[in-house]
Amino acid sequence: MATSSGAGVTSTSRSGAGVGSGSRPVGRVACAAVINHNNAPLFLKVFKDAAGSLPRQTDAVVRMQMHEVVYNSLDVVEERLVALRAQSARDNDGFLGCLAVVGPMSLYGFVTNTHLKFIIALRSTGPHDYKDSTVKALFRKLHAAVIGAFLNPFTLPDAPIVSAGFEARVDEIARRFG
Amino acid sequence: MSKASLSKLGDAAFERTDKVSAELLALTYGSFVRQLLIDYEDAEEVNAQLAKMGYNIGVRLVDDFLAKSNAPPCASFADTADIVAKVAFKMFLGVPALVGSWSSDRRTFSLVFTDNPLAEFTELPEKWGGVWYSNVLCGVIKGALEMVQMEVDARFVRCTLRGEDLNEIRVTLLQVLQEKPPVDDE
Repeated sequence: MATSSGAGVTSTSRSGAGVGSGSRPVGRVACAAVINHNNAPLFLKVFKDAAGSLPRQTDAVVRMQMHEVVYNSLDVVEERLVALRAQSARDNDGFLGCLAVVGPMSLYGFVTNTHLKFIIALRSTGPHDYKDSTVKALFRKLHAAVIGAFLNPFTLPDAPIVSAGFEARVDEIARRFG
Repeated sequence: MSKASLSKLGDAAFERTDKVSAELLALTYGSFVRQLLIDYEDAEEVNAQLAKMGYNIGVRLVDDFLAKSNAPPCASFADTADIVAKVAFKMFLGVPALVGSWSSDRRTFSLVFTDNPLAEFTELPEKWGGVWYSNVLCGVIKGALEMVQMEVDARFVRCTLRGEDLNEIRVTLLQVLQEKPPVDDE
């Protein structure tokens, strides 16, 4: 199940979140991921200070844990998609709501009409820390950035997005979110 | 003719011409360049092909330009530069260019522009750092000016896709071609 703590991110590690980040306020976006219709990861960016990892963990470990957390949440995405299909098309804006709470993070999902899935992990204390409208606005910004990346003729469909510009735009979106 | 009125001329010509969507242009050109890179696997070769293609566009486009733009005749190479920048760029690309950096012998100038509709969405992979993505424009300038008896060399020196803040094409007048009568013309 997606909510399992298999990723090893426990609530005790939250106290360590601010350690490595100096005086800079800790960001609220811990991770942003783009997954294609076949559930293959196209992009995954971890914001380590917000991810609540212990300082001694290496970037690679944190990244791997985040991969696992996101991957697990895809089960919930599938469930939500079934529920979403039952809704009328007009109410369906692709927002899947809070998928899971894993340790110090809440995971939110969004699906586009082309079945691209976006997962964003936000630092939180529970599933109701953020208003839906706030998270939706965040997804809309990410969606716009992904559209931009796909319009680049050198981005191959269904291949991981390798683009410094896209990464910088995601950084910017996360930074602005706080 | 003053530069301001040339700009107006460019705007008017742009208003009159048929438009296509920016996405169509940028994506068509982008997939074209990508395919060239796949076929030739060499940045220099692709630059040359793009310039050649542009040359063939330029020799055709110049007649259309002269017929539709109402551009005044050029008395000097400086006039030519202004008309290319203010009228031709605006008419065909929708963005005007600035003329600057004249050489002391007044035979070389720079066309500078920031917005490039060809490269709207493009981000060049590091592997192809040697590619002048919009090199087709150099070919167009060369081809078009050659049809009006000016042999020029045009090459990119700066490109926003290489992380610079503007695009710069350096244009050098090599020689003014003389109209020769056909050989053995009675």
